Amino acid sequence: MLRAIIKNKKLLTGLIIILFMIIIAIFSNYIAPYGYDQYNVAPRLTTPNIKNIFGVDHVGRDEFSRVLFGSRVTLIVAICVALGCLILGTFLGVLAGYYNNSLLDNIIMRITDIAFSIPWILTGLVMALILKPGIESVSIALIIVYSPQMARVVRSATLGVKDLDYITAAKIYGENDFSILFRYVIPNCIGPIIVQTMLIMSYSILGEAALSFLGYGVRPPIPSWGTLLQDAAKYIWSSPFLVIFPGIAIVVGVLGFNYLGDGLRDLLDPKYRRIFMR
Amino acid sequence: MIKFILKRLILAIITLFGVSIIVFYIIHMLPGDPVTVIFGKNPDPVSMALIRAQYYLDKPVYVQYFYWLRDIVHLDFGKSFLSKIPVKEIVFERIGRTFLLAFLSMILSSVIAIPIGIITANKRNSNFDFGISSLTLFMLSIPEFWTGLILIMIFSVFLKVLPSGGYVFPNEDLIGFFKHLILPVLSISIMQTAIIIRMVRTTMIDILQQDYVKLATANGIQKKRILYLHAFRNALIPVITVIGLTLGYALGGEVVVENVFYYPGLGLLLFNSISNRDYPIIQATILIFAFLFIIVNLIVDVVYAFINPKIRYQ
Repeated sequence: MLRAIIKNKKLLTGLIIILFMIIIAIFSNYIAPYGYDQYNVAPRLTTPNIKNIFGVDHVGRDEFSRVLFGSRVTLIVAICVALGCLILGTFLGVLAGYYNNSLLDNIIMRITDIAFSIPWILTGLVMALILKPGIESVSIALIIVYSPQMARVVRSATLGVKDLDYITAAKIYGENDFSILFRYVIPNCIGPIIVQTMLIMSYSILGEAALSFLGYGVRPPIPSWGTLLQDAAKYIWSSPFLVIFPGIAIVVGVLGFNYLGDGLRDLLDPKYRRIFMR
Repeated sequence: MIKFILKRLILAIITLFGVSIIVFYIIHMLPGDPVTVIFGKNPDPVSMALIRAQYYLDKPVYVQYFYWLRDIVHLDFGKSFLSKIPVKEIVFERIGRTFLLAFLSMILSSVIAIPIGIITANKRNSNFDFGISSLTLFMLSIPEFWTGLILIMIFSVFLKVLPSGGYVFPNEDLIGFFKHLILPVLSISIMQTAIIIRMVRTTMIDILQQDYVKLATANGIQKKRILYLHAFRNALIPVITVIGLTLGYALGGEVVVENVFYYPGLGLLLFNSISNRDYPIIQATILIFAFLFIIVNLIVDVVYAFINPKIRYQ
C-alpha cells in the first residue's frame, strides 16, 4: 500500500500539499508573525518586504498572517461539506441504487435533477440570506449543492454491486436490507465514495471562496481567502499585489485535493471516471 | 422513440415544477419584508396594505404561489419592487448579454480544447499527454473570479490596454463593445477549456479502442485519417453533449465573473436584486437559469437517444 502511494505521483503530491495545509491551519497562531486582526503593523497598503512578505492590507493588517489564518476557514468548510455530503449523499445514493426503479429511487433522482438544474452559486447566495452569512450558511449551501453528485455516484456504484453473488447470498441467508446495505453494499462502493469526497472538498474550497468574495460567505473579521480577495479587489488599482497571494493559496488548496482525488482514483478504481461538473 | 421523448419531457416538466416550488418558497423564507424596503423609513400603513394586496402578499404562501405560477405561464414575472418596471423587460434586456458571454467562451474553449484533446488521446501516456493532464488539473483549480482579477491586474492596471469592466452598447462603439468582452470571456474560458479537453480525451480513448478503428488500422488506412475522419466523427456526439452542458455550468459561473467586471448581465442583476430583496427579479432570474439548464439537458438527451439506440431501450 505504502509503495503504491509513493509510486503514484499525483497522490503523493496531493497528500503533501494537504498535510502542509492542515499543519498551517492548526499551528497558524504559532507560525503567523502577527494576529489576523492585528491592525497597524505597518503603514496601510505597504508593498511586500522582509517584515511583511505578502504586504499589508488597507487597514494595516499583515497579509501573510491573514492568508495563513484563512486556511482554517477553508479547511473547516471543506471538512464540514465533505462529511455532510458523505452522510447525506451516500444514504440517498445507496437507497436509490438498491431499490432501483422503485418510487423511492424516482423521488431521489428527481430531487437530484432539481438540485442540478439550479446553478450552485444561486443556492449559496439564497442560503446566505435565509441563514446569517457565515461558515454555517456556506457549509449548508454547499452540502445541498454537492450531495446530489455524491448520491448519483453512489447510486451507480450500488447498481454495479447489488446483483453480485455475495449480496444474493446474504439475501438468501435472511439478512435484512438494512444490514445488507451497511455491511456489504456501502463497503464495496467505498472507492468511488472516497474519490468523490476528495473532489467535493476541492469544489467546496472554490465555492466558499466565491461566496465569500461576493460578500455572502464568511464575514469579516474572520479571514477567508475569498474575503481577502474581496478587499483586495477594491484596491487593485493602487495595490495590485494584494490580489496575488490569497488567490495562489486557493489554487494550491484546490489543486491538492484534485491531485488527491485523481491519485486515489487511479489507486482504487481505474475504471471510475470523474464526473465533470462541479 | 416517441415514448422516450414523452418520458423525458414529463421528467423535465416535473423538475421545472419542483424548481419553481422550491424557488418560490425559499424566496419567501428570506428575512426582510419587501414592502418595508419599498417604503423606507416612513411607512404609510394604508398604502402598505394596498401594495400587499396588489402583490397578493396578504394571502397564504401557497395561494401566492398559484397566482404567481399562473402569471409565470403567461410569461408575466410581475413588476420589480424597486424600479416598478416589469421584470420581463429588465430580464430580457440582459439575458442576451449573459448568453453572449457564455456563447463566446464556449466557442473559444471548444476551438482550443478539441484539437488538444484529440492529440492527447492519440499520444496517450506520452510526455505531452502527461503535461496537458497536469495543466488541465491546474486550470480546474483556478477560481474564475481570481482569473478575472489577475487579468484586470495585467491588462488594465499594468498594460492599460483593456477596460477593467463595464459595458458599451455595440451600436455606440463596436470596438469598445468587444474590448469589454475580452477579459470576462477569457476568465470563464479557462476552466471550461480544461473540462472539454478532459472530456474529449476520455471519449477519444474509448473510441480508439473500438473494433472498427482496429479494422481500419489493419486495413492500412493512414493514422491521421482514422483519427480525424473515423474516430472524431463518432466522438463528436458525446463531445457536443458535454459542451452543451458546460454552457449551463458557465451560466452559473458567470454570476461571479459578471460581478468582477460589472458586466450588466443576468448575474449582476441577480446579485443586486438579492441585496435589494427584489423578489420578482430574483425568482425570474433563478427560474430562467434553471429553465435554460433543463431545456439544454432535455435536448441533449433526446438527440443522444436519437443517435444511440442503446439509451432509448434501457
